Amino acid sequence: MTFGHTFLRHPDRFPEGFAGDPLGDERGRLDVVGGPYAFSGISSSHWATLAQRFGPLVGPDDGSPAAVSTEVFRIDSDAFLPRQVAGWIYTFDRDPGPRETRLAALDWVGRIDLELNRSALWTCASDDESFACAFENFFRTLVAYRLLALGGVLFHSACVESSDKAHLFLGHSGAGKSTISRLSQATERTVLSDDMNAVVPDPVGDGRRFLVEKLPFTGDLGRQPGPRQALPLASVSRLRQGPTQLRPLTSASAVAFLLTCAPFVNGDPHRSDRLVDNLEKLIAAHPPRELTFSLDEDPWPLIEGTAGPGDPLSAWPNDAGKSTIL
Amino acid sequence: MTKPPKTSSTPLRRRSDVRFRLIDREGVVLRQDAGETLVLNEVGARILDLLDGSNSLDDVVQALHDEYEADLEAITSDVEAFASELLELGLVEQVS
Repeated sequence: MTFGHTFLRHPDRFPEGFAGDPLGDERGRLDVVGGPYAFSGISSSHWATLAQRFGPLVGPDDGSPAAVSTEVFRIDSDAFLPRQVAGWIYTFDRDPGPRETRLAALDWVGRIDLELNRSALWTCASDDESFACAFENFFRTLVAYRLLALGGVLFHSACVESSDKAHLFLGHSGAGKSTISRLSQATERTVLSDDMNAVVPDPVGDGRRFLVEKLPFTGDLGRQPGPRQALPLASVSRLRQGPTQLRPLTSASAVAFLLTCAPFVNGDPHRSDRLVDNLEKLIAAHPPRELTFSLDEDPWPLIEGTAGPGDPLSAWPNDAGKSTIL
Repeated sequence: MTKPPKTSSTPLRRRSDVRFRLIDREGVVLRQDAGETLVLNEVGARILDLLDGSNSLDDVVQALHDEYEADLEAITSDVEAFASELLELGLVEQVS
């Protein structure tokens, strides 16, 4: 299926350039990792909703240069195909190009120009909640592309703070991200997010250290809006169900797995090389492990490397659990 | 099951939606249309690396025979079987 046919009546009439009828007169900024991100053309009511959702990350536009500037425009609801949303899993169409990426979704379309650091969001969402939903889904994609350009990655992941360091846990649905987040909370550790986290190179240093920042997107835990907080990355673990154990992953297995945890950009053929480059640098600094854990055993001594002799770490098998087709 | 190419002199190439990277002698394959990744061991990665549109299976067999101490007949059999698997998975296609 070609781009836009899932959502648009006339995909060939996708808005050109960065023009349209602004939704309102408000301008402001979001101070999120990779930003600041400037927005204009938002109504007062919608901006108030964003201020509530993103809390202290929202600020006025002081006129200083932004990392990415986004204009928000109105689009007629007739541009979209009718859709029953009951039971529907949110998705959107992407049209990645060498310079720009176009997006089409429920009630909105967008364009991200990756050379100009400029983007546009057209939406027919009129009530505040619908607008916030459209905005957040567009903004996630924008942040993912921005992080990629900065040498980082947006990961679908859980992140737990322990001793002022960040431990990243990745896995597919049901692998245990929420479970380990709750287990960690029970041991007085803080969950940054159990949904999405940003990993970026530490701007201070030799480029071989990485920071983790919680992203202000939805998740069951760590959802409360708060100020930005970057923590040094200490470990990266792939989660699987099983008896408590840590196993190393080969570099190729690690990159292959991490690719599947980098939403929004991992389907972009024009940027896959950059994504793999970023992942290779990340795993060179933090070789990912595979962590299996049971509910009745505290995995943190293993995660932090504080378990004593004879623990499962000392019995790492030579087979790194790679999956091959040959 | 997809049959191997009728003639082993037909070049094969990775399909356009397939991204491939050698990492520590293993291969990472990203099928972007399907959103899938695969990891190939060293020999599998070497074969897919060689299937860039300029090499036939005969060329691949010869290259592996030069690089590895293995029986030519066994290499031929393994390469043809693996090529069939790659074709079946949609990772490679014949160059027309």
